[in-house]
Order: sequence, then structure tokens, then C-alpha cells
Amino acid sequence: MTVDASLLTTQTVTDSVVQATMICGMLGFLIWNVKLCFEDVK
Amino acid sequence: MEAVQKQKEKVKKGSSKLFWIAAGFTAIFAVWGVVSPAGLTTTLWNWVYKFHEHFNWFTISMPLVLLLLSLYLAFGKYGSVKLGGKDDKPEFSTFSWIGMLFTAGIGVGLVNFGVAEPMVHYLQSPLGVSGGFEKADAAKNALTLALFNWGFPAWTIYTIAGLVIAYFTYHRGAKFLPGTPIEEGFKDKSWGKTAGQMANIVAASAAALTMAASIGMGVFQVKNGIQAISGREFPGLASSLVILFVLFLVYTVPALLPVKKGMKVLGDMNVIIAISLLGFVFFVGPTRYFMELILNTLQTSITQIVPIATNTFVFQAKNWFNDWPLTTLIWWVSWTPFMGVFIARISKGRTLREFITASIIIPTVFLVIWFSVFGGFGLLNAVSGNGEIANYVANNPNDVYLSFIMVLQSLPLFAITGPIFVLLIIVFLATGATSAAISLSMMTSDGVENAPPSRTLIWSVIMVTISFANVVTGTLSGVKAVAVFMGIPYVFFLILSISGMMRQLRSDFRKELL
Repeated sequence: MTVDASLLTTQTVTDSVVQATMICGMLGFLIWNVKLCFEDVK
Repeated sequence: MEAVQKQKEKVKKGSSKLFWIAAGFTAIFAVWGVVSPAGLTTTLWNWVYKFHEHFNWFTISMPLVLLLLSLYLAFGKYGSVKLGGKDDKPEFSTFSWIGMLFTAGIGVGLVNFGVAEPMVHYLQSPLGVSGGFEKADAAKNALTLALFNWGFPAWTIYTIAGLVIAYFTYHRGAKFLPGTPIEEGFKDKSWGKTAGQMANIVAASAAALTMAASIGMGVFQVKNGIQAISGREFPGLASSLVILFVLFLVYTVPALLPVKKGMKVLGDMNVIIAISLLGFVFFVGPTRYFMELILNTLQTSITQIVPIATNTFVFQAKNWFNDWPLTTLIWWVSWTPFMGVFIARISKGRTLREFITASIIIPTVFLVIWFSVFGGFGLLNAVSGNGEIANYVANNPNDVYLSFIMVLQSLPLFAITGPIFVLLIIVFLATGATSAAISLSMMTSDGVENAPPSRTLIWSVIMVTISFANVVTGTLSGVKAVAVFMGIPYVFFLILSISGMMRQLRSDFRKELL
């Protein structure tokens, strides 16, 4: 088994933006859903 | 009277619209799979791997979070809430209920992967021999990993998917639709209805394509089983098509009958045949070894949930991690739309505690025994025997399913167990396809409890047509890719459904409506 070498290569700006958007989007979605669980039904 | 008639027509129009959109959406993928199988397969697997690359931390830990939520719902203050009115009694006996739950959810995969999956983990995983582990440790880890994919995690996902629909159906009088928990749970939000309808469309397509992939794989399995029993080769296409036609009849007829007659009989038959085959291998094979392994696997399948659900193999190559644990978990999610509707349909009158504990624990215990016996036999052959089953799996990565027949061939009386094996695949497939056809017709008939048989028949025909196209063109990997791919959007719909149920449940409980 080898370490995923691609993790060590320099990322382009696009890669970084895509990665940040994806991760923040997912975390945001999960946090929003936790908030929805505790919200009162109107 | 006129108003009622108008309302009925409106509902009919709406359900027809949903039916045509879902059927059209399904057809796009089916046609793409036939016209450009390689293009479809590459494109969709690329998307699936992109999802794994960014969100493996989410996918692998999702079952653990859902398991904790299930335990809270079962043993917390909501545990005694009944799915249905206070006087509602369960429609099916516990044996039949578990039989239907179990066989519809796991289906033919139990036979396809019962031996193959532990062998693949033994050979390829970072916790297997290729990761530098001793044979004995690699074998133990292999079963633990297989049970992580098939045990508590899979059943927690299905249980929650069923629960969210059942809650709204039996407590809020909502429809049997996968999008119901979103539509009803977020009635007060402007986006609730649209999100719910989108979930219904994705759900119907995911269910049809996932089942078509299973039927296609089943044709391959039945053919191999018959070849192994008869010792003859059937290389032509005609034999595959005959098998497909027989499968079509076997799953369509029970789907057209009322659930109590068709589906219940299939579910009962399935459990009896599976237990008979399991009992045979258990007693004729090395019984003492199986007992030791069952106890050991039961322990690791519980104690290793947290370590595996939090291990992303961060410093290792991700091929095995992507292809097995992550893909399997997403594949389970793509099964949830129809499993959710089906579980909800058969679970009226059960309390949340009963529903959650039974539908998670009983199938998992059965799977521990199943994998310890069949997978355990293959692992014993690899660790202490001539290793022919492991060699076969290592050298035939696309035909790993045949390893199940190899176990039966290693034991006496294959002339009897061989045909039983073929029968088991047929009945397993029929149970899965029947429940898919029932769920699909319910989903596209505005969620009525007993959908018109004509619509059930149309979905049966759509599924067999996709399988037919794939068997003829030999493009099964395309439809498999679609089936996994459809699980990705559904992950988000499932999370929204859970939030929808939680806020409604809290509100109803507080208002003492339960």
C-alpha cells in the first residue's frame, strides 16, 4: 500500500476553490439540517 | 360530489405526471447505457469517485451517526410511539415481517457476496494480506469488514429510511412516497414541496435502475449455477434470455397479487430456503470452527463499528476503500427509496422501539451467522487449506460471485445443494424485484396503499426491458454505475427526510398528539 502521492502535489487555484466549496457546502448542509431538527414547526 | 371528483382527477393527473417524468428519467440512463456503455460507465464512475474523494469522511461515518440516532429514538422518550393508531395491530406476523424486511433489503447480494466479499477484503484491504497482515489476522479482519458493510450500518440506513416514511404515513395521513417526509415535514417552507417531488423522481429512477442491475446480475448467477450443476456450458445469448423471461414471470405474478398473498409467500419461502442451505453447510462443514467464528464475528461486528466508521485509511491507497466500503454504503442508500416505502408499508402497528430493534438486530445477527459460515469456509480454505477459493477470487476480479458455488462444490451432496442454490437466487431476486415493482407503482400512483396492478405491471416491464438491453449488449457495468450514482443525490434527500421527521416528531410529542 502506498500513500496517495497526489495529496502532496501543488494544487491549482481552481482545485483549491473546488475543494473548499465542496467541503464547506457539505458541512453547511449538515449543520443546517441539525438546526432544522430543533426548529419549531409553524 | 363534483369537488371530490375534481380533486381525484387532480391527484390522478399529478401521479401520472410523476410517473412519466420518473419513467422518462429512467429511460434516459437506460438508453445511454445501451448506446454508449463505456461512456456512461466512465462518466458516472468518475462522479462517484469524485464524491468518495471529497466526502469519504462523511460516507464512512454516516452509518454510525444513524445508528446513534436510531438508539436514541428506540430507547429514549419516543420509543413507545406506535406507527399507527393506539389500537392498530401489526398486519403481519413477526416471522413474515422480518422475512420480508430482510429478503427485500439484502436480496440476492447475500448469495453474490456471502463468500466473495470476505475473500476480497482478505486479499485486497489494507487490513488484509496485501496490507502485510498474517493470514489468520487478515481472515479475522476480513469478516469484520464484511459485517461492517452488511450488518448494522446497512440495516440502520434502511430502518431510518422506512421510519421517516412510516411516521408521516401513519401519524399525519400522508402518502407512501419517498418524498413525503420532506414535503410534509417542511410544509411551512417554500422549498418543501419542490424538494419532496424531486426526491420522488430520483427515488423512482434509483429504485428501477438498482433493481434492473440486480436482475441483470441474477441472470448471470443463475446461468453460472446451472452450468456448474449440469457440467455443461451455455455460451449463447438464448439461454440468458430464457432465464430473464422466467425471472420476469416469477417476480411479476406475486407483484400483481395482494401483498399478503404474493410478497408474503415469497418472503417466507426465501427465509426457509436460505436457512436450510445455511444449516446444511453449518452441520456438514466444520461446525466447531463455525461456532467459534460466529461468536468472534458477533463481537467484532459490535465492537469494531466505531473504529471502522472513523477510519478513512488516510495514509493508504484508496482503491479498495473506494470500491468496497464507500461504494457499498452509497449502494445501500440508492436502495433506500423503495426499501423505505416497502418497510413503511409492512410495519403498521409496531412501536418505534420494536421497529428499530427488530429491523436492525435480527437481520444483522442472521448475517453474522451467514458470513461466518459461507465466508468463513472460504477463509478457512485460504488460511489452512489449498487456497483455491482465494486464488480464484484473486484471478477473476469480475466473476468473484462464483466463489459461493465453489464452497458448495467443496462439500458433499452438490447434486442437491446446487439446484437449491439456483432456486435461492431465483426466489431472492423475485422477492427484491416484486417489492421494487410494488413500491414503484405506489410511488407513481400518488402513494396509495394498494396501487393499481396495471402500473405495477408497467414497472415490471420497464425493469425487465432495462435488464434485457443490458444482457443483450453485455453492458451490466453501465447500469451498475447508474445504480450507485443515483445514491449520491439521495444521500441529501435522506438527510432532509430525517430532519423533517425529527422536527415533526418533537412537535407532535410536545402537543401530546402521539
